[in-house]
Amino acid sequence: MNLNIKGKAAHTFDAIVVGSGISGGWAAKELTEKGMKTLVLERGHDVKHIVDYQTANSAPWELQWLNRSSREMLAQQSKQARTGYTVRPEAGYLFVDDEDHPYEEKKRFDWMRGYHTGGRSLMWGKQSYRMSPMDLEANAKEGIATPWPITYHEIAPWYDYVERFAGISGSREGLEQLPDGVLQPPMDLTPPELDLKAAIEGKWKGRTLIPGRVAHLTAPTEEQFALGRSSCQYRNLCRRGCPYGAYFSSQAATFEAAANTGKMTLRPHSIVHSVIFDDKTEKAIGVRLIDEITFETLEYYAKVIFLNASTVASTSILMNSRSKRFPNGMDESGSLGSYLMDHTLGVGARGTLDTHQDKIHFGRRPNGFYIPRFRNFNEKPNGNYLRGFGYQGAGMRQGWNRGIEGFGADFKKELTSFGPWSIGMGGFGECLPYENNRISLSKEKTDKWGLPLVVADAEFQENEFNMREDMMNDAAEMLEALGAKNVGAYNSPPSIGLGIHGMGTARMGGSAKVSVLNKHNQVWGAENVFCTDGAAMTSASCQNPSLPYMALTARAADYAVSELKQGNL
Amino acid sequence: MAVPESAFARLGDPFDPSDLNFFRPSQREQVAMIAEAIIPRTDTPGAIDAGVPGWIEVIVQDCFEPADQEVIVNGLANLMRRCQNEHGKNLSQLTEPEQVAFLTKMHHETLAERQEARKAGKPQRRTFLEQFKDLTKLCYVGSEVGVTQAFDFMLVPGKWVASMPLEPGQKVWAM
Repeated sequence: MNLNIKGKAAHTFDAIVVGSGISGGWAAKELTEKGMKTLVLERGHDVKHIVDYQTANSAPWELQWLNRSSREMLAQQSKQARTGYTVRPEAGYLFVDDEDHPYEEKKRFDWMRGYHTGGRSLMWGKQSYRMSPMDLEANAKEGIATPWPITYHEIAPWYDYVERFAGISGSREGLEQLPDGVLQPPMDLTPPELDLKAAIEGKWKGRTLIPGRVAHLTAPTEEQFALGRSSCQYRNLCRRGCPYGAYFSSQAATFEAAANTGKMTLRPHSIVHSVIFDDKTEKAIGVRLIDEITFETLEYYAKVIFLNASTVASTSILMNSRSKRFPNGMDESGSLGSYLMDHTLGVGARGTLDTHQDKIHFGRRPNGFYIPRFRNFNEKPNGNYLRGFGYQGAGMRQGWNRGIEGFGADFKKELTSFGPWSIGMGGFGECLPYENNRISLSKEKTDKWGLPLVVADAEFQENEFNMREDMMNDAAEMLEALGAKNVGAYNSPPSIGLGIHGMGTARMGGSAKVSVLNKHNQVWGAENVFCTDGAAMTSASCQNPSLPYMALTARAADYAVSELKQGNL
Repeated sequence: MAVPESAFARLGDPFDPSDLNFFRPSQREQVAMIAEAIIPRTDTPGAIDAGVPGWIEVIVQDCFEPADQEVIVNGLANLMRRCQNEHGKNLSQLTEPEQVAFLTKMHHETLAERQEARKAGKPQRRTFLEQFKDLTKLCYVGSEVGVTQAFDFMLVPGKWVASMPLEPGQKVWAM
């Protein structure tokens, strides 16, 4: 056998992290800070902090087509365009080219992806909430899917840990259904939002309204300043990348910290095909990847492998990782690929107000208000459904961007005058984990790198549809309690994916019989492989899921290094 | 009516006048005329001052679906024909109140026609005037002249103030 020893050494690290988004960034930071020489593999192109944010400082007139999508962009990114707001000149380049990256849809599946350094940490909504004890206990109590193998008590210190580093702005409220954390000062509510809060709290004992909790710095710590991050400048141009590093992204935060250790190597254009499992030692020894540009197949080796490629992509890698021990991919439970979840949204209400005409706001708050869950918590549901929902919304003074009748000088005068305040909220409903909501790999079709296409077969079911009725009606009732005018409620046909909160498909659980991952996010039977992105979620809760990914990742990385030191991996 | 060159591309715009090849010269004049009737020059710049016609052309050319391009092209011809028939003049030769009355009447008629068609079960695209007015508005509030002169433009506000008094003369936020 002719081994290229030098070449193999250059391809050998202590740890490999697959993916550079929110959870991959955290894995890189934690592993490198604990002394691990870490290779981070990103399947797409490199986007460097600040210097590569092409449009970050563009004025409206400096954007092509005044930021409208061209026909060509829409054709090239036909699936990414389903959100209606992402495929635009300001930041469309951060979403994938659907022609190059196809997938199959047995049922409509809106798979929104960013293949570049930082992944969706550059374009995320930044809303950051903890899962509550209620959320983590729900599956067990209701006999749904499988129980979470961890308690709130176990994860709480890790929430503290990641919040302190990431920087989350929000108010302390003492709510059982939405635990407080380490929070920087909240972003103030506008006058109609404060009125709505008073109206809601006055009419319904169990409901409240709080400032959104959002991963923006409002009072940076020494640690955050030292990484080159500073306070939010209220531009609300976040999706173009933040030149101030004010919102949490891999680039602004975790990669800066990881790079400071001198132990991180980032390799872009690296499409991971599978984990290499050694049947003799019963351990994973590395990963097999395809270079995006050269199409070469390469192998890299490490003692510990973290999969953070995003929910569907990490599961695809596990499915492709076949060995004698795992002939059908890294799973023995039969649950790999199943229990895909997303939040159900596109339902809520809006209205206008004739109050506070003498007031305006200043600046562009990249945030709004949040109404934590109350249904199936301190209020019974109206329909027949489990779990609940929260709302995100805002009450803002209207400007030119409202419907104005007429033409000519009068029209122009209205256009350049403030309109009334408008207020609206949209629900985020918990989706149950269903076995028949699943992804699989195509047996016939491959992409241009030879990887089998993902096949999605998932849809919202009766529980979500029943919940949506309350989501719409409760929103309208709360706006009516405020005395809003022209209240309009909406409930658009939902599809899985548009929440861009894909979760599940490689869930955590109590045994190798029921789950892919154990309570430390290790793959059962390949304990030096960890998966800590959305794929690991056993249930969804109704809160935005990025903060849980951060906490699970930091916790798993700590465990991985300690197990390695004890010789257990 | 003479339309200044600047109506079709300004220094710093991310397109070159030579990129524009959708409208014929006569249509360009019509675009400028209607845009200016929608947002005329007052104490602040009008649509032509702001280069709106050029923006309209580049967007119709590169962003609009062929069916909507057709709505625009047919709508221009139809509007001009009607103006000649009803007033014996070009739109730009009408007084401002006449322009407003003409556009308002036409807007209501085409809306009513669309309603009828919808009732008859024929799916209808947004009318010419709806689309053209939206375009004019969006191009005006995105243009450098419009944004910086008719609105209060701040790329970096630097702070968030959730409530403050609306002072006389305070312009609307550009973004």
